[in-house]
Amino acid sequence: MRRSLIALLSFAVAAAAAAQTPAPVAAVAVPGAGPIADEAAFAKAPPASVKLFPQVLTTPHGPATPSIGQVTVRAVRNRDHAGFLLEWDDATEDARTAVTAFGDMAAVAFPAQAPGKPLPAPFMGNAGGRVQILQWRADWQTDLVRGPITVAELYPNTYASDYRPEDHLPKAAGDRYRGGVAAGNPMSAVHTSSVQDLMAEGFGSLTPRAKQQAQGHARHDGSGWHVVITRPLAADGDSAPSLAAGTTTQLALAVWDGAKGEVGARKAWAGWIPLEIAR
Amino acid sequence: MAKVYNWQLGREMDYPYEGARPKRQFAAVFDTNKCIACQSCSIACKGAWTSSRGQESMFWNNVETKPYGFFPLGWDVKILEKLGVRAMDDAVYQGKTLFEAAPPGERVLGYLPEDADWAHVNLGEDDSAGAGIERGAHLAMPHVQWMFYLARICNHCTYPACLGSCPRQSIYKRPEDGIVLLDQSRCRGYRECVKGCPYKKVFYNPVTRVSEKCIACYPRVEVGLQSTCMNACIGKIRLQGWISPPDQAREDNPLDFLVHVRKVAKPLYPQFGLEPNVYYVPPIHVPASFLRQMFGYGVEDAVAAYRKLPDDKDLMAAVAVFGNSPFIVTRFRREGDLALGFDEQGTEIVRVPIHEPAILRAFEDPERGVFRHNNP
Repeated sequence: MRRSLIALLSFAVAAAAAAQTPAPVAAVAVPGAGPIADEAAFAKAPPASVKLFPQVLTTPHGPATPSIGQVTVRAVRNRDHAGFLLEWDDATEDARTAVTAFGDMAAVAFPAQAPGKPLPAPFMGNAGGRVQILQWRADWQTDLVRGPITVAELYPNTYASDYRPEDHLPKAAGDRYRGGVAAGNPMSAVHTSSVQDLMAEGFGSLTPRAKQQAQGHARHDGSGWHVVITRPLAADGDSAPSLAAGTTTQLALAVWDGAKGEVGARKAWAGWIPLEIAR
Repeated sequence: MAKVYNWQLGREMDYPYEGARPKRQFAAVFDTNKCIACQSCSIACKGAWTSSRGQESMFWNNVETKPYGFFPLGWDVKILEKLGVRAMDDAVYQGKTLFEAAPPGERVLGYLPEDADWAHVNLGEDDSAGAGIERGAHLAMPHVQWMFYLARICNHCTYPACLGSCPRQSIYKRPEDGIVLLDQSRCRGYRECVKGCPYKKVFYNPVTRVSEKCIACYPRVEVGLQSTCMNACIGKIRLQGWISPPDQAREDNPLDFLVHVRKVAKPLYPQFGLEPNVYYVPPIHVPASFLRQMFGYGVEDAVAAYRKLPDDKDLMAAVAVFGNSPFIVTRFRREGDLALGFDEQGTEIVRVPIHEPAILRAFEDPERGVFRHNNP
């Protein structure tokens, strides 16, 4: 009953979002190839201003008034990669996570439904309606720049015994003391990208894709974030749709303000926006 | 939300999922009257499970000094304050549970403790506070102050709030033994469970960036052994076993006998609505109003029954089974002045006298021409 209500609500919101027909995001062609990591690549991409709404379709809800209400989106493609530049105002740079510290994040989603199937719900997809989600995480980016988080950095005055099983046991045995690592959870891994490449088919179903193809780059300028998310144009299996030159598809957005404790379902988002990849 | 039956509240209540009781339910009885806060349990647990990076402030098992000791700081008073004072004077709970009191858009009423709230486990809990010794604080008789030690682990609740609040079903309750586990491969570190568990027994690991919790030492439980915190208890305050719902209680199951038959052991904050499965023999010297808030309806009867322990040989036998075997005692019986415990296969694993033999020696030892000091 609850699930069907949620599905109905998602459909209603998707329909309402579609009815507003927001201005399309045009991904302009730029020269070169490979992952797009440079904000300068977006110089000629027209900005699209996207209004964000609080997530209230599933519990827990996002804050009634999202602290991030507006995102500017630009898109480009080169010979083999697409790039998306998301920019928003956020005076606090939340780039490390601790028990009560949440990291800033942003995500773009693309429909990845099977051929002939209707457009999935823009908000995490729906059963049988798959979406690809690329989530940039400020804390992962900090890892790349400054190395993995340490307790000494988080809590400089803490004291604990220096004996750590992972330092004294063979790797497999030592890893058993680090649950997330032993279980192969990407959250606990040493990161090689600030963007996680995911797929979903409804609330609670977010799953890392087998092949991690997304990269990112971000800069906080004191008043807000400038985040580049990039992925190959080519499709990958049935979870990453093609963004090849000439494709017309959709994109959805979500932004989290770590300072407000936003994480998971507690976020602001926007439904499908037409995305036109230049020929 | 679905409707589920919570026998500790004597009524149905709201829960995010349909009720499904496990085949059997992990449970334990802790006798607060015997605990001396030696922390053997905490150390056994810490050494076994939480000695890695990111787990510095994690104590899946802790022992705190009540009423003013907490781990994390203020955990129970904070959630009690949010829930509001709820009368526990009725066999059927009239107030709201944490699920029923959830604000709009939330699954459970909860809060996230501050990082520092976990940082100083036990620090200062047993020190003289307030006036301070330097300002003349001293013990006056009669001793009107009271305190007791409260040992805590995950309650492996029948209706866990951690499980109910996780939006991606990363927490599950095992159908074979009711142990509540957090899937380390599925968690994305949202901390909804840390927020949702009123007992604050789910912990966020900032190094692995996922949450972790007590696993009831399931590798031990699977081979019939008691969890390591129970096994390490030198005060023999703990007994681990399996608890039945009240309508299926078996008199020869020591857990059922203590909780359902003699009713000397009560759940911790049953008003939260989680049907927690660690049961406490309440401290017999603590004011009833405090005990009722902490252990719920019927706590005075539990104290009265426990006070009659010397006259109740069967209860003595159940209590004597505590801490006398590393294995889980699933059945017990009294034979005269002996308490016998059996494992799942019916093998006798405990045989102890219900009265420990005590020998009183005279103060003066004429044979050696000495007086005995501090040596009963």
